[in-house]
This record gives sequence, structure tokens and C-alpha cells, in this order.
Amino acid sequence: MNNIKKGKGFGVLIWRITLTCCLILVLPGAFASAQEAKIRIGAAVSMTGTLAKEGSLLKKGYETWAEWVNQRGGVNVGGTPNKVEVIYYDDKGDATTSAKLTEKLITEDKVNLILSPYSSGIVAATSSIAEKYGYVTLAPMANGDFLYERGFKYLFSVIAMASQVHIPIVELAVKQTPKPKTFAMAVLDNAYTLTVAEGLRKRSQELGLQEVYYGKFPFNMSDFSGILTTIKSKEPDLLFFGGFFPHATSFYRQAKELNVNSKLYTTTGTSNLPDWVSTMGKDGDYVLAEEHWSPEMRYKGSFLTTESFVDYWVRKHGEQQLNQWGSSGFVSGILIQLAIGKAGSLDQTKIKDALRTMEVETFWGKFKFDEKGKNIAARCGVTQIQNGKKVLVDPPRPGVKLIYPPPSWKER
Amino acid sequence: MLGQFIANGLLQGGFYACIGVSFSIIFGIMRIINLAQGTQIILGAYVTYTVSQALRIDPFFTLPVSVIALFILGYLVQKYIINLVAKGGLVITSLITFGLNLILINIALLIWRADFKGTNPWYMGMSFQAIGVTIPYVRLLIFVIAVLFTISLELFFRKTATGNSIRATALNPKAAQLMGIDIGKTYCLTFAIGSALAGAMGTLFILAMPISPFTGGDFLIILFSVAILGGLGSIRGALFAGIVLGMIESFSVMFMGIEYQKIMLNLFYLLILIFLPMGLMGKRFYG
Repeated sequence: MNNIKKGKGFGVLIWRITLTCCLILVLPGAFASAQEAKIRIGAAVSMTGTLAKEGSLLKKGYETWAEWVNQRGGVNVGGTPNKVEVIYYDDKGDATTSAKLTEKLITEDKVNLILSPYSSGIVAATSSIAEKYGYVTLAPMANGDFLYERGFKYLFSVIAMASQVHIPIVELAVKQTPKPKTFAMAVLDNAYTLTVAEGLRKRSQELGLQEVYYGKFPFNMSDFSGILTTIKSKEPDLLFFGGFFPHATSFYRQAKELNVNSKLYTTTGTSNLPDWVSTMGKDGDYVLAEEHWSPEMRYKGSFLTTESFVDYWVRKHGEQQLNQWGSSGFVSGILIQLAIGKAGSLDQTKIKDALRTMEVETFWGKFKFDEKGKNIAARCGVTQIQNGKKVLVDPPRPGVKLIYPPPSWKER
Repeated sequence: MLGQFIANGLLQGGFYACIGVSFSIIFGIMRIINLAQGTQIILGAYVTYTVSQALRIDPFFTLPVSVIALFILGYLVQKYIINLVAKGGLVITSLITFGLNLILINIALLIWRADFKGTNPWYMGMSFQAIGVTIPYVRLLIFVIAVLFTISLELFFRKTATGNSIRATALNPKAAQLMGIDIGKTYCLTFAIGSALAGAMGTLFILAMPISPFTGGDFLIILFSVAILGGLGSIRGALFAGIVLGMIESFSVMFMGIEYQKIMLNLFYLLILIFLPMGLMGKRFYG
């Protein structure tokens, strides 16, 4: 009997020790969690793959905003500061993968908010998932017009619509001497690039320019000799090219090989990438692109002006890393901050309504969203690569000139 | 303009001929559809990229390295994987090479990631004019080397004892075995030669175009087209077929537009399968 009692007493002792150890391990964490409220944000971005260059720059923007806002105590939710934690997954530049990862972020990781991937093609897939679950998607770099014609309530574009982005380029070109008369267009068969091309094509024709060539090429194309030979025979005044980084570098390298000259060359944002100059060298000069944002622009905001943002970013990453992708990621965070502040909660419907009724200026530019989620206050600038540097040539600034026409390939 | 399109087609066709030859000899001699051929080309390109970056040399000079590396890889793959199932028939060996293709792509993804990689030799973008036609130096180099490789291979098969062994094995493996030829070793050598050629073409390819681990898949239709069009195992046939395909690509852009390029290629391939299943040269590999 005594042995049984001793055994029982020993068992109770072990149970008490175990319970105490568990409490010691668990309680501090729970206490800390209760003390430090957190907003969990999910982002499926392209860290590898065809869109890796752009996707990685966008991710840097998100990371920098998260760090910046946490340094200032976090995002104000109904009077309580909340630190931000961002969870990243690599979608490898694939829409299906990105959609699956977005669903994972919502259903398994249970994030409070979603930051969108890069590119209209991918956001088309991920926004469908987010819309299904009633999650707000702020798309910093996904402006295919078709995205915002689907009747979605929770999708918002940070930048001007794709059909509008190259219009400032052709409007600038027709003011030059000698006045251009013809244009040729080679476009990647992709949602975004086709939309840009259609808007540009329509506006070019409205301005009296004659189209001498239009060709759509598939995603896996790397040999542009056929297209370039045809374009060369047409001698266009303006050469418009739409594609991503590998396409643009192959196209212009082969344009040099085949000595295809024009008075103006464009890319769909590719020549704005930091790697453009390092990859192409002087062969990358004189190319124009749309610029959603540039450090030379001047905007004010409640948190940062353009100058103070540039100062912060350059101190952190260096001037070479200052670009529209990273800054668009950063301003997406700012917009979320403003929307949550206005909504006073993390409720998706309240955040959506706050964005819909917002009219605000930030370091990045002006924002006003229509009922389709388009930012109708946005207008693109134009940059040109001059001597290996990206120069903002529109809006016009004193002492800055568009180089038109550029020297021929043989003269460079 | 016509002259330029002809030049474009010829230059591209030379490259197609050589990559097609490597696929064709494996298909024709060993009855193996090597679905990993495209990725082997890309591996050769990655070897070039890595070695030229590490040693800071012109990527063209890494050609022997990629040839040797892929030769060894091909030999080992045949010896320790494909030879084990060679008697299993076309379906089994195709599945094996399909699986091998996936493994190689994922190895490339692990080592070099999915980002595009390219080289930037000093002669990139340079060209010269001849009879009104612009010829890029890089494209001409690729064409010349590809044709040289193809001709060398033809001479190897015709004039050397090893080449004769391989041809004999293709004709009749049992008879070849009775004559004292080691079939297993012969198959290893054949696959290794095909891989080495793929590696060499990878080196040439990355001189002109950027690559990613998935770029190899784009070659598959060309490989099949050249092999079937030229006659299985026929090197002369592959050379002819490659140039024909290059010209079809070029002329379809000239007359119909870029959107029709792949359609015309695939249509041509289909027509050959229907009306000339033995290829343009009329017969498959023979001794």
C-alpha cells in the first residue's frame, strides 16, 4: 500500500514539473504576442524566372517599406500601432504558381493583407483568388486594362493603365524635328505588352503616323532576325518594341547586328531596369521607356516627399538601386497604411471602401481610384538612356533634352 | 531583302542542322528518343557561361570544355541508366529520357537559378556587308563551326574503325555482336558523341542568345523535324534538313509574318510525316 502511494506521489510530482516547464516555455511567447500586435502581409513575387529582375526589385520595395514603417512603430490600426511582418514566396514568374501561393497565404498562413506580384499576366490569376476570398490587392506593377474590366471590387492599380503608358512617348516624338511620319512595332504576345501596344498604336494613328510594320512574337522567341530584316526594309522613323528583359536585350543586340536604324527606339519599361546598362553597354543608349516614377519628379505626401524618400532609399540601397519597381512597392505599403488608418481596422471591406474614397498625393504621385480600381490621377513620364544614364525627358525640365535622332549603330 | 532572308535562313539552318544531327544519330542508331537533348544543349551553354565568367575568358574558347563535360555526362548516363533498360523498347527509353530531362532542368535551376544568363563577347553585335547582305560575325561563326562539326562527324562514321562499329551496330546489333563488337560500349559512345555535340552547340548558342533552364524545351520540335526530315541517323540528311528548316522559318516571316513562323514549321513537319515519312533523303540510316 505504501509503495502504491509512493508511486502515485511520484507520478503527481512528474506531472507538476512537466506542467510548470510547459508554462515557462509557452507563457512568455503568449505574453509577447499579446503585447506586440502584428499585421501579417503576404506577397508571392517573382524572385526567379523570366520576371526575376522586375520581381526582385518590387520585393525590395516591399521589404524597405516594412522596415521603414516598423522603425516608426508600425501601422496605426484604430489607434494601436501594429508592426508589420511580410511573408514572401517565389512564384518563379508563373501565374499558376503565384495563384496557388496566394491561396496558401490566405488560407494557410492566414495573412491580414496581400501585396501583389509583378506583371499583369500573373496578377490576373492572383487577383481572382484574392477576390474570391474578399482580400484587397494593391497592384503596384500590374496595369493591363483588362484586369480592371472584370468587375472586381478588391483590386486597385497603383500606376496608370497599360494602354496609356506609352502615349506620352509618341506625343513627345511628334513634337521633334524632323517630324516622324512612320512607325514599326514588334510586340510580345503577352497581356501587358499587347495592351501597351494597342494604346500606342491607336494614339500614333490619331497623331497622323503611318504604321509600316506590326508583328506579334511568342514568349520563347529569341531570334529576331526575320522581324528585324522586315523592319529594316520599311525604314520606319519610330521603332516601338514591347517585351521583357531577355526579349529586349536580344532584339536590340540583333538590331545592331543587322544595322537596323531608326530615329527613336522604345522598350516597355525594360531599359529602366538597373541591369539594362550593365548588360547592353553603349548599345543600350538612346532607348526610351515609360517611367511611372522618377526621383526627378516632385510630389508631396503625408509621410514622405519625393526628396525625403529618395534620400532614405539612397542611404539604404545606393543610387543605382533607385527605380520605379522598388519605389512602387514602397508606395503600395504607404497606401495600405493610409487605407487602414482611414478604415480604422483590418477589415477588408472597410479597407476597400477607404481606398475607393481616397484622394491623396504621396511621394510617388497622385492617387484617385475609380469604381473599377484604376488610378485615374496617374500619368507616366518618359526616360531616355543617355551615355549610360537614365534621364527623365518628359515632363520637360530645364537643361534636359531628348536626343533625337540618335546616331546610327555604325556611328556609335 | 530577299538576300537577307536567305542569309538569315542559311545561318540559322546551320545551327539547326548540327543540333538535329546529335538527336538523329541517337534516334537512328540506338532507336532512342532522347527527350533530354534540348536540355543537354543548355547544359553546354551553362558550362560555357560558368567557365568564361570564372576564368574571364572569351566564351568561345570554352568550347572544348563543354564538349568534354557533356561527353562524360552522356557516357555515364548511357552506361548506368539507359543501357539498363535499352531492351525495354521505345516507350521505356523515352520515359527514361523524359525523366532525365526533368532532373537536368532541376539541377540547372538549383545551380544557376531560373534567371536568364548570357555572354557578352566583344564581337557581339558586329557584322559585315557582303553583296548587299548584312552578316553578323557571331551568326557566321556559329554556322561555320556547326557545319564543320557535322562534316567531321560524317567522316568519323565513314572513315574510322569506331565509326564503322557504330554503323554496323545500327544495321544489325546481333550480327555486330557476333563480329565481336561490344554493343553496350558502342551505345555509350554513340550517346556520348550526341551529348558532346549538344554541348558544343550550347556553347555557340549562348554566344548569341540568353538562356534559362527551360530554354531547351524550345529545341524539341526542331530536333524532331531535322531528324525525320533528314532521315533517321543520316548526317548529310540532317545537314540538308536543318538548312531547309532555317529557310522555311525565314521565308514564313518574310511572306506571312512572324505570327506564322511556328505554324509553318509545324505544318511542314506534319506534311513530311504524312507524305515523306522516310525523310527528304528517302531512307533512314544505313551502313
